[in-house]
Amino acid sequence: MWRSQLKYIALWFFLAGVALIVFIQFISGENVNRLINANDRLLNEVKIQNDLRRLESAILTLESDMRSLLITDKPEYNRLVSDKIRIIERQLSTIQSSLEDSTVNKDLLELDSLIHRKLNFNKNVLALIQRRQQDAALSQINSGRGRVLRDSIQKNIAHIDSLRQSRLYGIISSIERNGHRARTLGVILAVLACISCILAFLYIVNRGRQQQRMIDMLNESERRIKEVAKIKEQFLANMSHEIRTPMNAILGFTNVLKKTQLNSQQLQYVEYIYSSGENLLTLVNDILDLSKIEAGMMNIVEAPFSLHGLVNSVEIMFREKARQKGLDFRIDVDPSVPDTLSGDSVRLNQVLINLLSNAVKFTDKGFVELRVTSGPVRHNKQSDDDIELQFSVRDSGVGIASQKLNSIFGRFQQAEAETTRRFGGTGLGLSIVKQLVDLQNGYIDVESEVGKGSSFIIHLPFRILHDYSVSHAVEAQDSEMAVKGRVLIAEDNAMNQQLIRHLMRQWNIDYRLVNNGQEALEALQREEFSLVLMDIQMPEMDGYTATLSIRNELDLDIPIIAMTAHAMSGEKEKCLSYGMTDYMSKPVKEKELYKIIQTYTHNKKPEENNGVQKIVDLGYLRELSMGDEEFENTIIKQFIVQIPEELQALKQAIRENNRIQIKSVAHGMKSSVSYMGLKDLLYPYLHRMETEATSNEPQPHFEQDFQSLEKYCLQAVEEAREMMSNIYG
Amino acid sequence: MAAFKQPLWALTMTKKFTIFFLLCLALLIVSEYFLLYEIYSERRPELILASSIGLFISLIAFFISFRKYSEIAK
Repeated sequence: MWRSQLKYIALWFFLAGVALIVFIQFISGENVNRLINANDRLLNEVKIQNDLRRLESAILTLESDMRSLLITDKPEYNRLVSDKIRIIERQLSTIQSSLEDSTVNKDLLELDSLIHRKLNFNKNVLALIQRRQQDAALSQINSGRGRVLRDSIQKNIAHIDSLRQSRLYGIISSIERNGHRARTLGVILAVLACISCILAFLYIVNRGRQQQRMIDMLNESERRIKEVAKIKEQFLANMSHEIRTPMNAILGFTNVLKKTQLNSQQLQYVEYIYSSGENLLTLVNDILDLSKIEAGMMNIVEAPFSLHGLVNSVEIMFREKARQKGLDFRIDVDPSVPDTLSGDSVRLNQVLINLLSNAVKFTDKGFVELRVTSGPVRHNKQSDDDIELQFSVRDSGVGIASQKLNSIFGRFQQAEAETTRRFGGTGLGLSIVKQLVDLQNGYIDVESEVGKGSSFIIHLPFRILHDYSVSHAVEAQDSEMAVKGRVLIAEDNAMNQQLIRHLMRQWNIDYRLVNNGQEALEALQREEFSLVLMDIQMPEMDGYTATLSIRNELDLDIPIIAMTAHAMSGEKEKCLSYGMTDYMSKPVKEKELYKIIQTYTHNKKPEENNGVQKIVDLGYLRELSMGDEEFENTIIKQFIVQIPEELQALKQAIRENNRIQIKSVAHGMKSSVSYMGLKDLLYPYLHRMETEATSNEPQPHFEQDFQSLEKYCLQAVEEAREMMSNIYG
Repeated sequence: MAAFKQPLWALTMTKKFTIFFLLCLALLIVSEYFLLYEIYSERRPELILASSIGLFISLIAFFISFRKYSEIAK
């Protein structure tokens, strides 16, 4: 309020100041004009006085000149007198014109009369002289009339002069007055100018100070924001660590417990513990993901991947869940969509899993569908290899009210409060999906109707890879490698130590467990190990310091794997910067841990099947079954029966060149082989068959692909039979 | 957000107001000058009245436009 009033007061001051300056300037100008006028008048008065003096002098000398002429009778005196008479006449007219409108008119008229009378007298005398009447002329001069006239003229001139003198004093005092006034106004103007300058200076300084204060406040608030963000990040990191550490033990021991002899109720309780632990872990991971995205540390890594492989893994993940809920689960990948693409498959997988798990969760009956098609042609695409794919996840679930559609991508937002009560969840999933899609330069649309279902459509750009082979058949064979050498494990948490002990015994791995980094260093000095699993946060000496000492003091290049509950962004990079070889976050998954130990111990298990390496990998099936051995056995049995039938059907279709049948059987086989860990090995063949069958390829590779497929499938069936015979004796 | 850069000659709201303020100021100075001149010299009533009205209008216009500008600039 005061600031606003101050603004208007300042405005009025400004306007009044401008008016005052104009006023003073005007008065000052007027004074200068008066000074100039007074000066002109002063000069005029001086000139008049000079003229009067000259006139008086001429009158006086005229008399003597006349006498000289009379005495000498020289012609030059005659001329001199005539000239002087003319001069006097001229000076009189000049004085008259100068004093035309003055107050001395009466005196001037009298002077005029006297001078004319005097001149006439002198002219008469001059005429007598010129006529050679010297005596008459002399008697005229001696008559004294000329002297009387001269004296009268002198008196008159003196009177006029005195009058002009007083006028002159008046002019001089007016000049003095105007000069004083002009000087005073000049001083006032100067003072005003100084005050204006000072006020302007103070205003500018004040504004500058205000701005500086605001800048300081902004800097301070930015510093506080950064500090708060750092504290928040630290808090999240600590919480994540503190939650993950016990979660490692909970999930690990639950997994171990599941493999023990339990009755069905106990097994169910264990399942509850495991799934609750997994849910808690998902929540922690979601919060970490959001934190990473907000901190700008979620990087999109472009790498080649098989789209069909990714979609199939997603299908396998959700088909069973959908089946359990009695839902029709459909996957449809448009045949025109290329298989080998460059993009971030991890994030795409995360997005699809989030959307599909929502779809399955919120649908009680009906269907859940994932469709992959090529999107509309992008106008800003940079090359022909750029493609936009459209992933549509549709369901016939509870749906979302139209007024809630805008808010569902917000954090901790669910369409209805009842949703949380009925279905659970935190409302973070869609927020993460939206941000991940944005990070990949894509966008997401949603259509939904309450009670009828929802449709989430994601548009994501990818690059098509033509010459890249996704055949990583060898990778699948690594799963049965054995571990040789001794593993050193540095872990301080007693429960995690217990879990590690159990796992190492289960895998028959020779190990040594120590409580901290210092003990790890001592162990490495005394014994030889082929791998170190290093926890980070430990008493006495943490994992970072221990690693630095191993690398610098002991000078060992032994692989060191960070095994930590710190899962915040940048943690992996930090571990690697300290000289660690790899990183895995807690809670560790058995398979993941085993695989990483295998990878870094470099030893392959010489377990071969008649010289042929085993290709079946039940890791994924086990992960899917969550320890349900009955489910695993059913799938394996089904595989043993189904694969030969499908091979037969495929062979028949190839013989008859029935491309519809080839496409159908090849597509169906994808699911079957995925359960047995053959995805990476057999997908390239199945996908090529499917694509060539759809596109009516004139020279298909059906025969070659079938031969390879048959060879691997029969081997896999054989291995599956062996497994079953081992189980059932 | 990168600021959108206007060309120098583009009449933004601030520039429009600045021009208007300067015009008001010029009117104020001229009308006051004529008023003083008439008061000191010729004293013609019609010119005294006209210059007084000009002076008054310039002050009011300046005040109103300043208030409007302050509201826009908030």
